[in-house]
Amino acid sequence: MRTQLMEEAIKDGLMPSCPIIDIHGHWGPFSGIYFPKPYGDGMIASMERSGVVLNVFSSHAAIFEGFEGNLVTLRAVREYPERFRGYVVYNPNEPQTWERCRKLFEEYEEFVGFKIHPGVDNYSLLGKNYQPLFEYAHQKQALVLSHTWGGDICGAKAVRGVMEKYPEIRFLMGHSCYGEWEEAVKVAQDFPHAYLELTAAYAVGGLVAYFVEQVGAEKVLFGTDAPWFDPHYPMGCVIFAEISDEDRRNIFYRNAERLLGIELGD
Amino acid sequence: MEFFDCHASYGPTYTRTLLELPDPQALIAQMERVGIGKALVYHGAAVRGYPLEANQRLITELAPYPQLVPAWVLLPPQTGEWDLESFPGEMKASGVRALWAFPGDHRYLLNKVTMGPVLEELVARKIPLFLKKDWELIYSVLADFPELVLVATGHGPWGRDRYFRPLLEQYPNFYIDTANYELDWGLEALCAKYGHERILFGTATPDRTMGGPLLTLLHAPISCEAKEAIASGNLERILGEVKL
Ligand SMILES: [Zn+2]
Repeated sequence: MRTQLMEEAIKDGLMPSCPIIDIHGHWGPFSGIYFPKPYGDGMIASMERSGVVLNVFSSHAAIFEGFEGNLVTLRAVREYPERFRGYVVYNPNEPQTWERCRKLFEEYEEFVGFKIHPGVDNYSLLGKNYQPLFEYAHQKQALVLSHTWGGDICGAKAVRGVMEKYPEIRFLMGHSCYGEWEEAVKVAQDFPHAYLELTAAYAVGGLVAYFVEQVGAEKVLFGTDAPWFDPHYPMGCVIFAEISDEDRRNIFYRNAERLLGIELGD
Repeated sequence: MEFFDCHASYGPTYTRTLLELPDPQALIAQMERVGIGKALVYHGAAVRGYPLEANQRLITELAPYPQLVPAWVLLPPQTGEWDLESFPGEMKASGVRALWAFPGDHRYLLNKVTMGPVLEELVARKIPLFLKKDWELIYSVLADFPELVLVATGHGPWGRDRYFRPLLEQYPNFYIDTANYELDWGLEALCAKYGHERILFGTATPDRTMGGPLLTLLHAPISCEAKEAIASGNLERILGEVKL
């Protein structure tokens, strides 16, 4: 049976009654993949044709080239303040940059949280250089989006270790600890502020419905890795998952609204 | 728009899976949910079970469902399991016009030494061969059989344009499917440069979801003509050109 949101998405490719917040985006080109349109205009055109109203992102420059890349993020958000918010990227291999990361976050409203990539940085989530960030985010109840993927460095076991020590972090498990689905679900069940983020994971057959059944749609967020993925792809995965439209609204924008402290309205 | 999924299966997957599609009815239920009218289907048991038995089961099990078009999984001819003389006739009798190969699972090398006579037959009869992404393998097969109708499927979320664009340029019968081809603006860029004739709608169900590739193609920033060709026209044409 077709629901209202299914009908809207099929008809127009966007849902007038349901905005989308992309909680896991990037910006700019990256060596490992060809992007036809990795900058603002192309990303905004994608957002417009799929109804993504806000993209919270970290620039590839910040992830792959170092602290200064955060200024690429800042400039991009300033160029399109209606469409983007930024994450400050902290690299634990450059612990001397932590104070500058903290200042960026505190002084610029363009930044709404932190992004870490233990995989790229080859640095365990449980390593000591992450502690200042986690301690701070725990105190401030701040948003931290971590790349998480099955394995030791940033799998579900490592996330659990972080949450046990710093349960007040608003912790987004980017890619939902890809492959360690059951364990990621348990983390989201055990810690009120640990969330499953769907980027790339959404494509796995049956996964969205499984997450919603296990942890409730209030703990699941929508992301696209833009400019990596056509928003219609993850959107189609959520739209046709065997969940309700209320679940879809939670995933598409309500949870992100709550975490970002904004209100888009229905 | 008519959707013809080139890449679907049902039956046992033998791995931990969240989406069980044990029989054709379960697959059809998924298709109806998203609006896919037709699918080219291999039997899951033909991969990790025994291909030749599963190929036969497929024909029996799909008989009541004309919207499910059978595809067989082949084996090398040297052991006598895959009969070089009789397979085109058997395919014809069973309404099979497409083949998959899983050389890794089935412990053989998909190359000229092992599969030369089989692949020559495929070339002569324009029978499409479907392969999961393994770019070195695909490059070497096409180097030896440049006229082979070969469909590279299941890209993985990293765009693989740097791998497959050279093949599109070099080999006129090389195709890709859209399962996991998620690249933003990817279809638009591909169609602009290479046309829409060599892209096939695929979903990799049940490993992957049908909804993602479907909504992506439905609203891709490409012409209606291109969408219809990718959704079903190209695959219908390929199957129509098979000579058995
Ligand atoms: Zn990412």
